[in-house]
Amino acid sequence: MTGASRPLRGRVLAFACAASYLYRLLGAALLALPVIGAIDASGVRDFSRGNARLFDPGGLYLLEVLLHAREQLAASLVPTLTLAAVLGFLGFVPDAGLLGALGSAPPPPRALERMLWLSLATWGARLLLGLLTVGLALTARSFFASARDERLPLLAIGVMLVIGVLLQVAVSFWHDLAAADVVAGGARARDAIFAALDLARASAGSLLVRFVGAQLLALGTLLAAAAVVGTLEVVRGDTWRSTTALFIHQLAVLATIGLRAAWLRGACRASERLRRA
Amino acid sequence: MLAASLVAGNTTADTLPESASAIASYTLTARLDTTAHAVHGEGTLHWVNGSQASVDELYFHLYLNAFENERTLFNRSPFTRARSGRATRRWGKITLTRLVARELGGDLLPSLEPHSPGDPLDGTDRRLQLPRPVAPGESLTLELAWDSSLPEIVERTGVSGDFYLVGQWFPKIARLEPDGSWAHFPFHPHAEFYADYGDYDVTLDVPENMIVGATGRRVSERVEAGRRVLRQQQGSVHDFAWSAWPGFERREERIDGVDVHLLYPPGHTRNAERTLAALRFALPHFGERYGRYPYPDLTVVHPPAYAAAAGGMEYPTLITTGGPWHQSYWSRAVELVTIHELGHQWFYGLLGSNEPRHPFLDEGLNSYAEIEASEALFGQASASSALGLQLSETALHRAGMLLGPHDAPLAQPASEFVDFTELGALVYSRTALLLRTLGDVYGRERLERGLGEYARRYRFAHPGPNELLGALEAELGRAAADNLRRALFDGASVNYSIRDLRAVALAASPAGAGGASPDGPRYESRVVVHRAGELAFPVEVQLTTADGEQITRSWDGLGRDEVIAHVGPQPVIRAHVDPRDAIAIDEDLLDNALSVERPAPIDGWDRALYLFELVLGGLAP
Repeated sequence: MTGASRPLRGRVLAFACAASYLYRLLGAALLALPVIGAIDASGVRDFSRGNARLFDPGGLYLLEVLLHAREQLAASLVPTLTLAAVLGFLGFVPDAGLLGALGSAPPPPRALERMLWLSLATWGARLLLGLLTVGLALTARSFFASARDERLPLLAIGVMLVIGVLLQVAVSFWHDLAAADVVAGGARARDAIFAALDLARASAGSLLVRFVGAQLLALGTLLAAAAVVGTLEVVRGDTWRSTTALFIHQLAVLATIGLRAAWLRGACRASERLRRA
Repeated sequence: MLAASLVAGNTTADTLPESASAIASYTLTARLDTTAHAVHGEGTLHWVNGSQASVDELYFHLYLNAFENERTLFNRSPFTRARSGRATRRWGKITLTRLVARELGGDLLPSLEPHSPGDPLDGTDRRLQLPRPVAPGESLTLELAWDSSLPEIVERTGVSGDFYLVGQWFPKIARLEPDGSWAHFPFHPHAEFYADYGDYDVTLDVPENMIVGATGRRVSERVEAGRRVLRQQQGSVHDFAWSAWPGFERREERIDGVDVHLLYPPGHTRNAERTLAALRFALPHFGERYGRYPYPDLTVVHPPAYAAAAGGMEYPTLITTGGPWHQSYWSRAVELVTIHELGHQWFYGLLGSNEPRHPFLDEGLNSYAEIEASEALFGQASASSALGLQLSETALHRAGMLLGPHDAPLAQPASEFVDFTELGALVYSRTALLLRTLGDVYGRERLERGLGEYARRYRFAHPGPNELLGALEAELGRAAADNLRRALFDGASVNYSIRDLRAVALAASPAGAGGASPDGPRYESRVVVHRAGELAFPVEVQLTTADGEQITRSWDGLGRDEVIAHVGPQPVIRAHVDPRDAIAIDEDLLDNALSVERPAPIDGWDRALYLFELVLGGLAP
């Protein structure tokens, strides 16, 4: 990378991160519309402190609004879940943009199509693993169903669920490595899936550290945001408190996207190194 | 003693009756057969005609017959799932094999009518014609023997696996009212129980490995020939129940002078600690309000998960709680069920009200007591505190109330409710919130005094609605009692709302004239407050002006509409009727305020956006 192209690539990366964030923001706004509409129609904004009243200790107005809006919310449930699934899946598009901005070379012409196939494969694997996990959890539970100590069945389920979650995380890891190979390395989706295995074998330790580190930092960011927002006492209804909470939450989302970009950068570099080797 | 306390007016701890008149006293032995899931019982019933009239008939409640087949009143009800949420899955029944009155001579069993009055398909409420009338004050000693076959646990009695909760297991005489009429009821899925007080002396014979919890105090226990034989005694109670399970773990603690015996499944150590913590608070708390708990023992049974339908039930000096082992990690349900069932020791046990006829007198008053105690213990997080969200009992009961009917009387017999959801909404939630409303409008301390007086004065006295109304009217006044009466018997409700809010700038005029000020414009604001429904409570109306000043006006709430005018340098931008949310039975809280300037919906957007942003992040491939 030349000195002259570095600022340009930096701008491209910033643009890709911003696009990723905006996709998330606009998607969330679309999903939130029925909820916000129901809250607005309930009349809670006629009260002092408006929506902040929903978060009062005791939950009196929260339950009141939920009951008031239950038919509206129930009617929007299936469309909202469907839209969330579609928007979630289409998250591979901003991801591809992010990977394109992170790679040393421009992405291949059919990168988006290959990302689509890769994402379908990933979702398929996630679904299979999810079903397998539930099946194993129920089987494990049945082994302890007649135990006097009632903790054992749930413990068995818990162990299976933890294994299931770890497998899902492993799929994410695998998917990201394959996606890096598709976009930054120019591989086809099927080849990338196997290349990801080679990649993981070649530098599993450092990649895992980066991946897990990014995930843990993202989790820490969300927890820190929750802690800070918790001190704001938004239920008081002051505009500055609510605005600050909104700002902190959005900053946290942006930070998680940045952390993801940092991890994907490492994945792209590893993919490029493997291809060079 | 009871008469003395009635005359004394305000009942204090010193004048609380120590014991009830022993009208129906049982000396029984019961042998549990864990192979046949059956109980063989025999013994005597010493019964006194405590009424003012001679009687020539007795009524017996044989409630296990409710589970005899699909044609009983219990099982042919359109909603076969009862209070415990379960339908009968294994039949159960009770068969009397001996019924002899020593004083009357001869076998009375042939005189026991074969079915409930007017219902040939039901055998839970049985009339016995006596060979001669029994005079007021005269007593009978009835020799009894019977065989009980236990159903799969339904309606908080029966067997599940090797766990037993044995309630309504013996032939139980109905209650004779003072006027000589029998209060007898076939067993309805919605209904509970009503009986005379007496002294119980019960010997239980169970397999040696069984751990037993039962009504009353254990006076002896021995093991012989592979059997555990234990004897329980308790005076001044109107029922006897017991539970047996080999798996129980046990905690014993003396709380407020009461020996508490807690039986719980393995793995429930945390639940057990939470149960005891709730009792440490609630026993003295209820004792202070409703009169000291008079019995030396309290047994608490937490059934295992596979017998969960046995949970959440009250019998004299024995209550059952429930919930999975992990419940106390994420909710207060363990504490709430403990507090609720303990409260029944007063609002059922010590008062002995007629549960089938007036379920609101036990479940409604007890739900109020539960809300009051849980909020005193946990504040606004009385129902739950998880993920930064606190839920109160009041909010949950309001949700329950709003999902039920809005115009049905609360004081209906249990069998009159369409289903248990309706009974729950009206009897538990609406009654509790009605009482809470009376407290918040007319004075919480006065309400507490009134309820306390009712609970003390009528201890062991089987009070009815009029006794409650009288005690509350004495403390809260006529208007409160009228509201209570209308809600209980007429299904009256109320909804306050702000119907209109307008502000107009007054025309400029010379200084000192008209409504305009020489310093700037003045505004006349007009607020219309509306009351719908038949209940009428005095309310506050809070007005907020454009510069944030808050002005509180009072309205007696008697008319349908009230127009409140305000003239000042700032227009009123918001009006809020009942800003303290004192009227917990208001049909719709969300129409209680009206604004001309609504706050920006930042909080709603913030939380919703953030939630869905995280969801989208999680759903990405």
